[in-house]
Amino acid sequence: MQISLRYVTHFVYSTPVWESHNSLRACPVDGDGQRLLDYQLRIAPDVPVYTYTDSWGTRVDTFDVPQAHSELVVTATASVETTAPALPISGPFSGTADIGYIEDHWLFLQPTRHTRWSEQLTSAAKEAMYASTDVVEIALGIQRVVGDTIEYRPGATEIGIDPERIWEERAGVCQDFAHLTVGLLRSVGIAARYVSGYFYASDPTNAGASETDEIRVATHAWVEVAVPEWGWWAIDPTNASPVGERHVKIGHGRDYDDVTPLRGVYYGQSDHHLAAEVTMSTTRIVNESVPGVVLAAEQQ
Amino acid sequence: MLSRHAENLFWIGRYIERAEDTSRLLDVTYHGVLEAGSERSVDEVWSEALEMLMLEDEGIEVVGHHVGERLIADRTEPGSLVSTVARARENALASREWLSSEVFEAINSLHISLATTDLAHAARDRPYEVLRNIKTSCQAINGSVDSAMPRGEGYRFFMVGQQTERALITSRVLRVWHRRLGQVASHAAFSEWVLLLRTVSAYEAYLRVHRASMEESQVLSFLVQYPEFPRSVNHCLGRVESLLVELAAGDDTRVRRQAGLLRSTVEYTELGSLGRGGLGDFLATIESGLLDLAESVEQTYFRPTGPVYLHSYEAF
Repeated sequence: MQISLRYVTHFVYSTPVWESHNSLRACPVDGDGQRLLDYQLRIAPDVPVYTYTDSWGTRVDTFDVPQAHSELVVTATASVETTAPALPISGPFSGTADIGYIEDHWLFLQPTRHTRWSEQLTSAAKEAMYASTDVVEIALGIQRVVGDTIEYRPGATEIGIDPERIWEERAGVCQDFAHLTVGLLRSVGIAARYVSGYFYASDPTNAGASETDEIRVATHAWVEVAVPEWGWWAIDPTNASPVGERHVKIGHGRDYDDVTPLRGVYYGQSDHHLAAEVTMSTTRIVNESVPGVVLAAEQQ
Repeated sequence: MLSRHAENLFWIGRYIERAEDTSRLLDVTYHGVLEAGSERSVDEVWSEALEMLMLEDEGIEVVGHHVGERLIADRTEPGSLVSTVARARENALASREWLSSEVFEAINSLHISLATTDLAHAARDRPYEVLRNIKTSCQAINGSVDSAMPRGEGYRFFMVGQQTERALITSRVLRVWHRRLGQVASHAAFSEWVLLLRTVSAYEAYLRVHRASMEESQVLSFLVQYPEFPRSVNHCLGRVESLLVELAAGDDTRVRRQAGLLRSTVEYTELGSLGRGGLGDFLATIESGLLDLAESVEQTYFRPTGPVYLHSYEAF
């Protein structure tokens, strides 16, 4: 499937800020079952962009805006050809105890800020194993538990909440689904990594077709599981389905912090207000608007 | 560009201009003392020179030519030539990537030449030579800036500094000179006007316009208003104003309006209608206007207004 996408983040500052340093991870990866056809980035104010590939293989665009500015618009457009990946039939759970497996996936077996697990989570994961000896079945079981436990609610959590709280709140967004799934998998010794990307569906909890061709979405997150004797297998816990043609991968890492779409720092007196929007289409994207930002003062 | 680089360039522009103007002023003062004859004491001439350099409140003791030597070679005196050049060089070192290597090397060699010679000796034995060397080095620095520096923000801040300093020196010299002439006689001697014009490098330019007729109103109007003389206050302010327009990049900044207002006052005031006292006040107004303008440039471009925080953000 050929998918075009347009990522826009619009910052507005109530008083001018300066010396802003930013890094963007929005470019679809070329590989992992997809082909990058085109990628372009535009920054307003117009400043030079420096690009490198980080240690996870994700393209990073960095740019600085040294001069005083009250607005910043980051617009990335990409077009990508996706294929539905092959699905693993099975992978022996005993393979996860293999020293080669542990060595190869060491980083994806460790707890991180967003994926650490407690006794409570480990026992939940163990229950989901249903005494299975197959990693594919176990992963699907854990995905089911996550889906049964937490409810998708936009804006339910802020960035950086830990799995224990997600478990208690019983609500979250795609990142929380992904982090919790990764944490549960790692707690029983299955290597898993967090994936950042785009999902071509008007409802992130429903992998079915969208009503219109051009849709407005947000960035998405899912999980890749290391299946012994097979390789990395992508699953999407938010909509409890395998990852297919509608998923466009940006990159992966231990958790959200390794593939944050956009982060940065700046000097100034004012806090920022931002609006982000992703437009996706299977044809040419018509939308050229910049999402509007409502300042706190205007909201009153 | 980062504000600290902008500030450094602004000050390099000011220091180099100040060094050039100071060496010219000292040179003329040495000559002026010779020509003053018995009418004025050596100390009087030197105290006036200090005032023109805005150093009258620095507590520098006036003992004949010794002042001149200190103003050239005394490292402990912040207004001396050697200190001024050292500060220009420090700023150049800190913002080296914004200067061409030629400009940096020119500033650096001037600094090194002052630091390595026995400057105190040289200033006493052959002040003219020392002053001429500093003056031509400064001109060489400004020349390389003019011929090789891209016309971006760095160049503009450098030029705003240079032009502001130049206008300040011209107006200050005029004010001090005008006040003295007001006390002494209504018509100064021809040689006095020649010295004044030479202090701001205007003698030959003036002759081309007015021939040899030295009249107070003509000299004042030439140094304040004549638009085609690059050291007239009006000309410098015109440059500053257009540089500030370019720096504002389409925005209407308060500092630009301030420069425009001051330039209009300088350009359109009818000097002949002011009278002697009014003229003194007018020159004082210009001078304080220029000092305020320099302060506004600093406030606008180099100083944040109020507390500044480092913010971080994440967006998805």
